[in-house]
Order: sequence, then C-alpha cells, then structure tokens
Amino acid sequence: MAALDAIRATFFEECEDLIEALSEGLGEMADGEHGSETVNAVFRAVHSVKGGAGSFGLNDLVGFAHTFETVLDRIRSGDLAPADDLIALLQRAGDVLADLVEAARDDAPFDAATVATTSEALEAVLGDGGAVEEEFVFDALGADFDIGLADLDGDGAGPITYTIAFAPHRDLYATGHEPLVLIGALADLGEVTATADILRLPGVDAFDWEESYLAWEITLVSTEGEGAVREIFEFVDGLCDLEITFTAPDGGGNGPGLPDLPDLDDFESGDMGGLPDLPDLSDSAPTGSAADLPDLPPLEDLPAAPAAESAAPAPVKAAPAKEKSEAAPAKKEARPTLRVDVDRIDRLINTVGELIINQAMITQRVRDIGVALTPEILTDLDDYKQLARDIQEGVMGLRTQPVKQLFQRMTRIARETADVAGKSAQLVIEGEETEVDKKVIEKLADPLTHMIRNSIDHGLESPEKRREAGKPEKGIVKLTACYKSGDVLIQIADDGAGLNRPRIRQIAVEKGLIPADVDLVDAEIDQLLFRPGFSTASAVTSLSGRGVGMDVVKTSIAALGGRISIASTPGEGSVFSILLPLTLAVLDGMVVRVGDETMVVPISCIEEAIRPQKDDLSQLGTARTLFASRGDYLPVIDLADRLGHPARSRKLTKKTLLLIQSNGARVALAVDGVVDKRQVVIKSLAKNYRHIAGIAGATILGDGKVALIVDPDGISETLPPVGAMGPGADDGTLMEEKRDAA
Amino acid sequence: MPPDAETLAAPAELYATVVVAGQDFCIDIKQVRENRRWSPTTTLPHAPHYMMGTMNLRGEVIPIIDLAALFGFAPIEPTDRHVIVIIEHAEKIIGLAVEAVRRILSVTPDQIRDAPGAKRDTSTSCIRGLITTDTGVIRIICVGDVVAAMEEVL
Repeated sequence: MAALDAIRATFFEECEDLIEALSEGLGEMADGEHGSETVNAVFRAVHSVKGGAGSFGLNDLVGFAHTFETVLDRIRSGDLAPADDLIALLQRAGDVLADLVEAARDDAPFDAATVATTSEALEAVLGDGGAVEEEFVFDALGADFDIGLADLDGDGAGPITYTIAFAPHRDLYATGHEPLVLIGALADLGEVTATADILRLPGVDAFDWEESYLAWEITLVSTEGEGAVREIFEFVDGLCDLEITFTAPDGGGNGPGLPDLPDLDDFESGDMGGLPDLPDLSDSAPTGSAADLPDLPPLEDLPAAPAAESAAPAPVKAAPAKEKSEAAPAKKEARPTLRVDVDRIDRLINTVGELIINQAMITQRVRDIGVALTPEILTDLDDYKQLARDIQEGVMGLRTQPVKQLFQRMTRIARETADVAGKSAQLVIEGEETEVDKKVIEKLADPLTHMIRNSIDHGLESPEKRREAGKPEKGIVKLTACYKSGDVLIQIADDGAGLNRPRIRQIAVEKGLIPADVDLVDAEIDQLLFRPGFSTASAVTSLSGRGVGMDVVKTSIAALGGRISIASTPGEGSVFSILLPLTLAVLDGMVVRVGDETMVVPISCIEEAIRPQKDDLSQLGTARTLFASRGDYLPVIDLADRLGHPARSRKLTKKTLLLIQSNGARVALAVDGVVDKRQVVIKSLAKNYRHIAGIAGATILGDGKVALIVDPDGISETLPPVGAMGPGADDGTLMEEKRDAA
Repeated sequence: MPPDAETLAAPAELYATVVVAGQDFCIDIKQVRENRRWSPTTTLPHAPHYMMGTMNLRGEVIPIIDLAALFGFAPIEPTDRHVIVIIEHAEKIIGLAVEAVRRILSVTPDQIRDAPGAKRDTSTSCIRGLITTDTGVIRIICVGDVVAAMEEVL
C-alpha cells in the first residue's frame, strides 16, 4: 500500500508540473499563439493528467479531462477556431482541472456545480459530436481504443485473446515498478495465464541482484480493447520489451494474420504524448461502425504500410507521427530535473553553514597562533575560503526556484477577481525566471494573491470610468520580478486611478487610527494602508476586504525578511514593491560593536553610516535625541541602551550612527563602532531560547562566538513615546550629551 | 514519592552529580547530552540575571543558565574550570553552568525522598527529590522545571 501511495504522490507531483504547463500554454494561446506546438503542449498536459488519473480510478477527473482534451483535439485538428471566448472557456476549464486534481490529491470535495457547468460548456462547443461523446465520457480509460478496435474487427462484442510478451529491463525495477502489479492489473481486465521465462536466469555465482532476468508470456482473455491493455503498460513504456498480439473472437477479422504490434517504444514517442491519437478515434467513430471511419484507407493499402504499423491504429498513425516531429524540439528544451526532499537540502545547507563558520574559525585560529605564516599556508587558507564559499553558493542555489509557477497561479487569481469585480483586467507577467528561495515562494503566495486582488478590485477603475478617463477599458496589472543588488524585487503595478489619499486619510480618522488634525505627507498616508484593521473598500466585497488587509501582507513580507513599499500617482496607478532576500538562510550584515558585545545589523536596511557632529544632534523632551539628516530629524536609538548592554561611552559624538529604514521611517541607530561587513548564516534564537524583541536571530562569527542580529523593524517598535520614560537609561545619554554640549 | 511495592522492583536509574554553589545536585543522565568546558558567552538582551547568555554548540545557538543564580545563590564567576552540562528537554538544547561534574550515580526509585516544601521556594522550586548517600544529601534537578523557568520570563 505504501508503494502505491508513493506512486500516487509522484502522480500528483507530476500533475503540478502538468497544470503549470497547461496554464502556461493556455496563457500563450490567450496571447494569440495558436501554433500546433502550443496547442499540442496543452493537449499533452491534459491528456497526461487524464492518463494518470485513470490509473488511480479518479473518475471525475478522467471524465472532465476527457471532455477537455476532446475540445483541444478539435482545435488541434483545425475543426474549431481558437476564438477569444473559446480560449476563455479553456482557461476556466484549466482552472477546474487544477481544482479537480487538488481535490483528488487531498481527497477533498470539489465544486460539482462548476465542474458540471464547465463540462457542459465544453460539450456545447463540441456540438453534435460532443453529444455522442458524452456517452463514454465517464467510461474507464481505453474505451476509445476499444471502439476503434471493435470497429475494425467488425464486431464489438466477444472476448479477445491477447498474447503479451513482457520482458522488464532492469530500469523498470529501478524506477519502482513491479511486474506483479502489472499482471494483477491485467487480471482485472479478464482471465490471465502467465508463464515466467526463467531461461536467462544465471547461476547463483553469476547473479547480479540488480539485473532483470525474468520475462513473462501472458495470455489474457478479455472483452476490453487493446487500448485498455496497453494502458496498463503505459508507465513502464521504454522500461521493458513488450509485444502484444491478439486474436479476435471467432477467429474472424484480421486476428491471427495480424502483423506483430510494434513495441510500445515505437508506438509512442516515449511519453504519453504519443497517445493523443486517441480522441481522433473516438471522434471519427462516434457511431461505432467501421463504415463511418472517414479516413480509413482501403484495406489493400495496409500491407504497403510499414510492417511496424499495426492494422488497428493505422488510420490515425500519420497524425501522431507528424506531432512527434513537431513536439521534439520543445521536448529537448526541458532540462532533466531531480526531485529532492527539501529536508535533505536543508540539512545540507545547515552543514555548509557550519563549514563556513569552521573555515572562518580555522583562519582566525591560525592567525592567532602568532607564528609567521608561510605564503603557502596563506594561499591554502584563501583557497579553503573560496571553496567553502563556492559550495555554499551552489547549495543555496538548490533551494531557489523560479517564480514562474507562483506567478502563473496569479493569472488565475486575476481572472477570477476581474470576473467577480466586473473589471476588465489583464495580468502581464515579467521576469518569471527570477529565482527565489523555495520557502519564500511558498510563503509569498498568500500575500501576492491578496495584493493582486487589491490591485484589480481597488486599483483598477470600472470599464466605464476608464473610458471616461480616456484609458483603454482593459486595465493592466503588471507583475514583475527582477534581481536588485542581491535582493529580489517583486512589483505589482496597476494603471488604475492611484491611491485615493483623501479617502484613506478620512477612513483612518474614522477608524481612530490617526487624530483628525494630524498633518501627514503623502507617503505617511500611504503607510496607513498597512495599519491593522484598515480597509478602503466601502463595501465588503467577496474578494478583498475580508478583514485581512495590507497589514497582514506587510507582516508576512516582513517575516520573510522583506520590505514592502508603495508609490502612487493619482490617475496613473499604484506600484507596490516587495524587496525580498534571495534566501532566508544567509544575510549580508554589518558587524558592529555595541558596548562589549559584537552584533550584526542587516545591510539591506542601512542607508548610511555617519559619525555625528555635535551640531547634528538635538534633544526632544527628556528622553529623546534627534539627529538632523538632510532637513529631517531622525530619532536616535542607542543600541546598547535599548538592549540593556553597558555602553562604552554615552557620548553620541563618539559613536557611529547607522541610518536605517525601520517600519517605513528613518531611524538613527547608535553603535560603538563598525567592525566589518560580511555574509552571515542566520541561526534561530527561538529554537532553544525564545524570541527577543528587537533581535532577528543570531549568527556565529569567525571566532566561534555567537553574535545577535538586530531586527531593524523590531528595534524601533520598542521606541518609548516621548516623555513616557522616567529618568532612566535614555535620560543618561541626554544629560551627558547636554553637559558635553555646554 | 513514597516507595511502594512497584517502585521497589523498578530498575536503578543513572544520575550525573554536579556541584552548584558548593552543594551537590544531580541530573537524570537521560537528559544530559554532553559536558563542555566553559567558554565566553554572548549577552542576551532583556534576560533575567541567571541567563549567562548564549554560546555556539557546533552551529547550534544555545542559551546558558547559571544554576547558582537561578537557585538564588551568588552568580558564578566563570573560569576555565567551570563546566557546562548540555541538556535536552522538549526539543530544546540548553546549557547549565555548574562548578564541576562529579560522578555517575545509580539510584533506585526507593532511594529518592521527597523534598518537603521545595515548590514554595524559588531557590528550590526546580528540585524534585533528594537522594541520601554516605557523603550527604544530593538534590535532584528537574530539568523540565529549569526550562520552564527560562521560558516563563516575559
């Protein structure tokens, strides 16, 4: 059972890729790309889902996929023109298929009504042919072949005797297949007699445990068509020698005289892509009679056909052959990939982190010995460092993934949102090849979904308003990703009306978020969107405005070590920018001295480091010092004070100020000195201890000591309100500073 | 924990005895991962006085608790001779700073006596029993209570 579960899991993993290929192809079709390669790719994806689903008895999925692929096949053959509304229907069908796959995977219920509606819409497209199609839409897989075969036999009923020569290759076992299961599956179709051929079995001394020595001669008496029999061997295609011959009932038709069927390898192009001829058969044989097969060549032509071609599939053989050659270049582009458990990669990343630390420690220890180092040792140490870095970079790369799949999911979100909100919108995707840590991608799905919904629901105007404003009715939302100096920048830009700042302000006042008379600049008003409990939608729609708002988005982004910002121009639209670290595991840090401690401040948040002059510093109330920077006054936070470390000096003029971005505002962080700039491996403090306010985590420095990493957002959140502090630590800074100034 | 017929038959358990502020304590050996020589720690902000800080255990960042300070004695002034007993409890790895690790003690449950009133006193709240030996009383440290004390703060 466990083996079957594993195969099932693999199937659903593959489905993810197939659904991705499907939506990608449909997207291309929507963009006007109707080439046979694109349509074929879409068809193959649906067909492969169907094939796999059939093996697991997922009948709802098979039924729907069958109707879907029939429509696609009509488009492929040129019977149907891929008009815009048809493509929209196909995209909906793609969504439904994805839902069905998900429901099947989770054993969850699905929206039967939507499935039925979409299925009916697809059948309506098929017209008359579709009506007949319906009869076997929910049949088990292979029914199509059955009909085709029965037609040629001129007799639909009666059992067929199959003779199957099955010789597994060693790869068949290596990939986890099991002949017994296959034979068992055959037994489900009818009466099976299997004889094992053990002639190739060597003596015990020459026995290679991984080699495949056994072959089987299987006789199957079944009423099922050849397709159903071949279906069983679909997943071992290319992993075995397979020969299927059959005798039709009553010895009639072309049974005994039938030329040997080709090996599956020849018959199909090495993947399930070869099967697409299947609907052709069903389409062309709707009435179940050979006479209706339009393309059937005269019988006398058959011997002239290559011997490898069997009589049964001959009429449609030309189509797949053509398709094969078309599909070939596309296939080559797919690089071979390896599925690896994320845990294993994480363990590797952890170990490499240790290696980096160990390398730094050894280097430092060697230098600390104090003897004169030979150039050879220095070179070796440098090489060691370089190698360790290379390994680290390589291993980190294993964790990254292109954002493509994530972005493609968003096209669906955009489509659905536009439908519900009554907007006309197009999602334009750029930079989908940008790679981000897999964990980041996973955690980005929810915030991104919310933001796309917001952009379409709130950002874009209604088609009427857009017309009035002289814009095209169809609004554009651009979702882009790119690298930006070691980070990844993801932007969601709409060409809507821009943020309605007076309205935002009014809501914030109404909700008591800000006093009515407060003076706010535009950027500050924009920031109000991120306040908990804020929602601009006047009515709670079924889309956005479900209680969770941009504050949740901001929190999730921050949890990933990222930042989010808004830029908006009235009448032209808004841009939401998310800046994310490439990986969660390492961070570029500024190593600083804080009192007697060494700490790390993430470089991403540092704007500049400054030695303050006396004139730049001024007091506010009793507990705050301000630093004047380009006309702005930034609150000064003395890190040593804030964290309760004994400071070396209280004089701010003896310290270095790091001007950082914290919670969207600028803050000056006072440290006792800047030591170094380096990449550090982030370690959790909470794992063995607990979270500390203002601390993002810990790292291990070259000397093997732990250094804490400052959390730039958390550190300013602990900023006491003006005047709220009694004569305390912060006061001391001031007093001294005053004395100093006096 | 008064001994009864069942516990009398129970097999002996092993305890590692340690010295904290000159007194003998012991820790269930099943929870001890290893002992390490004391090495300088990194101060943890906003931490109670018995948190000595954190140190690097082969890449793992672990907090170090000064048992003497936790039990209300004068905080230790660490030297190279001090030992950190690395314990594991509820998937957390924590270091306990002690003056010395003495020996392994085999104790049957009937040798363990109640520590009367221990729970009412902060200096003894992490003690879950006493063992009488020829060299005197040994206090059994409940590791779970120590970890809980660390987590309760704030």
